[in-house]
This record gives sequence, C-alpha cells and structure tokens, in this order.
Amino acid sequence: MAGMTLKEILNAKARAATLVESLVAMVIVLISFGIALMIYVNIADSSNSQLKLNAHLTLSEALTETIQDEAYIDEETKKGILTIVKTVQPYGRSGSLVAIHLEAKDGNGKVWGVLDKIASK
Amino acid sequence: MLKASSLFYAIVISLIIALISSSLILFAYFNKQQFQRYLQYEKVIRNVDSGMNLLLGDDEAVPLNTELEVDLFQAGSDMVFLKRRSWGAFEVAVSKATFKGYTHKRVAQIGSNLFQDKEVALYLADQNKALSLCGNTEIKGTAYLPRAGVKRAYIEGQSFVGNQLIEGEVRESDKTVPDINMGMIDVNAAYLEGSYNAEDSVVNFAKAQDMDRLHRSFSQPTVLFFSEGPIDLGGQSYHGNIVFVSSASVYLSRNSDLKDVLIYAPEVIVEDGFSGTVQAFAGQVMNVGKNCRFEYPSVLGLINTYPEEGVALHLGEGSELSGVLFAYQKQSSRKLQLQLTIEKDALIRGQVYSSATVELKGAIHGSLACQRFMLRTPSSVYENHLLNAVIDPSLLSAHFVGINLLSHSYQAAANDQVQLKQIVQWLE
Repeated sequence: MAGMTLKEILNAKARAATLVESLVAMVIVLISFGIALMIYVNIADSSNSQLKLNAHLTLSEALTETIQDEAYIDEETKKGILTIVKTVQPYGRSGSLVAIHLEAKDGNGKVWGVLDKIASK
Repeated sequence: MLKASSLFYAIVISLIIALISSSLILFAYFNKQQFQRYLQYEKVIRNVDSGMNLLLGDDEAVPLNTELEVDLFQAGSDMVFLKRRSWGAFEVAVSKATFKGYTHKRVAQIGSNLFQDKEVALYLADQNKALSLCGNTEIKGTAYLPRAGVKRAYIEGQSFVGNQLIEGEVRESDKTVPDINMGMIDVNAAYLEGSYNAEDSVVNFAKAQDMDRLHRSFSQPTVLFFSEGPIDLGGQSYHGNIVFVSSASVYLSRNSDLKDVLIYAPEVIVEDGFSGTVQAFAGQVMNVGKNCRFEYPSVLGLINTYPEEGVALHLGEGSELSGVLFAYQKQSSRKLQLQLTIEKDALIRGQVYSSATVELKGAIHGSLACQRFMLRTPSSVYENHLLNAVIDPSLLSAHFVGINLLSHSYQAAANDQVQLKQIVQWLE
C-alpha cells in the first residue's frame, strides 16, 4: 500500500474471507489452544516434582536430625502435608551400626520419597 | 487492497503456540531429568557415607587388606565398593559408588584409641618396685601402678614439690604391660623384613633419585621405594601414598618435605629441626634430633622382632610429636632391654607405649604404658624414678584419634565392648 494516499486506502475494497476459510481458521486456532492447554495442565501436574523435592528435602532434614540427636527409634512425624515414617534396625553383627529407613507419605498413603542410610550408634 | 487471509493468520498463531508449547515440554523434560539425576547423585553420596560407616563400625564386614562389593540394603540398587588396608600403624578405608558414569569416592585414614577411657594417664607394670616422683613431676588422671605404690623421692638435689603424688584414681597394675596389638606389629615388621605387599608398585630408589618430588594419591597403587643402601630424603618432597624401605638406614633432614608417607629401615635418623607428617618404623635404632616437629598424625615406632642389644628410640630435646610413639621388643630379657628416651622439653601429644624401659624427662599430653622407668643422671641410674616429667591426658584434644596399640583381648576385658574406629583425616 506504499504510495497510496489515505483517501485511496479508505476507498479501497477489502477482500473478505470466505465462510469456509474463517471456519477452518477458527478450528486450527481452537485445536492449537486445546493442545497448548493440555501441555500446560501436564506441566502443572509435573509440579508433583515440587512435592517430590519437598519430600526429599524433608527426609534429608529428618535424617540429619536423627543422626545428630542419635534418635535411633521408630517414629512417625507430621511435616506439613507429609508424614515422615522412620524405621531403625540393627545393621550387621557388630552391634554398633543401625540401618535408618525414612519414608515420606501424603494423606492418601502415597510414598513421595525414600531414604536409607547406615549410621554408627 | 487489504487482504483478510484469516487462514494465514490462524496458521501463524498456531505456529507460535506450538513453539511456546514445545519450549514448555522441553523445559519440563529437562527439569524432571535434572531432578532425577540430583536424587540419584544424592543417593550415591549417601551410600558412600554408609559404606564408610560400615568400614568404621564393623571389622568383620570387610576384613583388613581386602576389597568387597557390598549391596548395602539388599535391594540390588545400592552397590558400594569397600576396601580396608593397613597404612603403617593406621588403616586406610575406601568407599566408592558409581551410577551412570558418576562416581563418588571417599578415602580416609582411620584409627582408634589406646584406652577407651581417655582419663588413663599411666600404666606401669608391677616389677615389685614403687614409682618414685621427684622435682616438679605431674601425673594427672587414672594411674595403674605397682602394688608397692608411689612415693616421694629426692635425687639430684630435687625433692617432689607438688601437693598430690597422683592427681587421679590409682589402680593396681599387672606384672607386665598390656600386650601390644600383634596384628599391627606383624604388618609393619613384614616391611622391615623386606616382605612387600603384592599390590605395591616397587621402584629402586637409586634409579628414581632424579625424581625429587612425588605426590601420590591414595586411589592409586602404593609407590614403594626400596634400597639396599641408605636413603637420604634431604631436599626432597614426597606426599601421600608412598613407602620408603631401606635395608640400611633412612635419613630425614630439616629440608625434607614429607607428608603421610611411611618409612621402614633398621636405622632412622632425623636431623635437628625436621618438620613433617610421617610414620617411621625402625628395626634397631631411631634417633630424632633436637627441635623436630612431627605433625598429627605421625607415628614413630621401634619394632625389634629379633632381640638384640643396643636397640633404642631417642626423641631429642625440644622435639614435638602429635600421634603415637612406641617401642616393642620381642621376648625382652633384662639384658636385652630396649630403651625409649624422651628428652627434656620434648612433648608428645598422644599415646606412648614401651614393652620395656622408658626414660621420661619431657611431657606427655596423653597416656603412657611401659614396663618400667629408668632415669640416668650424671651421677647415677635410678629405676622407676621420674624427675620433672609430666603425664596429663586432660591436655590432649578431645578429637584425638590414635591407633589400636593394645591386643584385642585386653581391650575387650577393659571396655567390655567392641571398639569403634574413628576417622583420623580425610585423604580424598
């Protein structure tokens, strides 16, 4: 439209799209948005990994506390929406080692993380 | 003319949405992958730590000088490679795990303690002779003494000046000093007798003398320099996994730079002013000059398995040792007594053991076990006398870790439990 005056532009005839063309365009845009929405929901769902990370960090913290306080007893503690289940068993024959098993569970009993470590009493 | 072309615009918008969507997919994928990898690496590191705890806490799990692959939790996914080998009077423990090309490894020097009870200052065997204290002698802590007990004495114009002879509990000792840990003696006596470890990389010292500097990792095989003649380490720098064995003597000078190395020779001579971290074992004579500094964890040991005369370990005036000093002679008779001498102003932070006689003129911030004391003065020789000597375990760092000097049977009787090993230092 270069070189056209404003009057010429305003007087020019705009070519309309056909009904079929418009419908196809609408369908394509709708499908695109639909797929994008699915991806967004999936990614939002994968923020479960955020919960997994939280579970892992909580378990690491619980493990450090267990070793620091030498709290080598079975117990369950509630940390936010997670329940940390600790199981301690003697390890080997020396009597000086314990195997610590930690699990992070949600309200439905789903396990979000597990840690195992051998520690000295 | 302005074109509507809605189909064209729709495709362009779709492409942009597709691009954004695929970016989100990629981001989510890499994020998840990274997180999984992080969890696995964490698991590998935790398993390596567990392996190290297993090495420290259970001797039977990995016997000395063996290497094993252990499934820690019997789940098939926690495999750890564990190795324990002797390193002089100490041990070296290796714990290693690998996952998808990622390897994590920890190497530590480990040890334990002479007495579980860190309050023990002195164990003097009962030779039917009382312990006599003179001058400014201080013994603080539990003392195992002969039945004849302890008394004040007056020699060289000095009488005992303290208020209390023993500042701590006094218990009765046996006829002989507790047996030394023969496992540790045998391992080190083998090197003195020229029997090397099959895994060692043996190099003739005469051919390697041009190489005056070597820093060797404990992950690699040990480099063992041997020589039929004397070895002079003056002006040379050796760190780490290195052993020197000479059939004659080893000389350490004040400009030797040595760290964590082992030395074996019938005769070990240390020049005045030497400083370093070594474990040195002599078969006949060890003579440490004046003002030497042996940093923690050092060991000076005399191991005389073929009883002979003139066997002596001498720590010079003003010298300091942080670690262990011991002298052992097999089947020592009174004629063939070895002599361990700690000169005036010398200081030992740690453990001292002698299967025979000790002449103590300096200070021990730790514990001492010996058969008898001997004190030579210009005018006479006194038995079971101490003059201006100090034995005080309370001045020893609470973090001090020594070696397993006594036999297991003695430890089991004394402690009524298995002794836990501890980390002396991280090597890698």
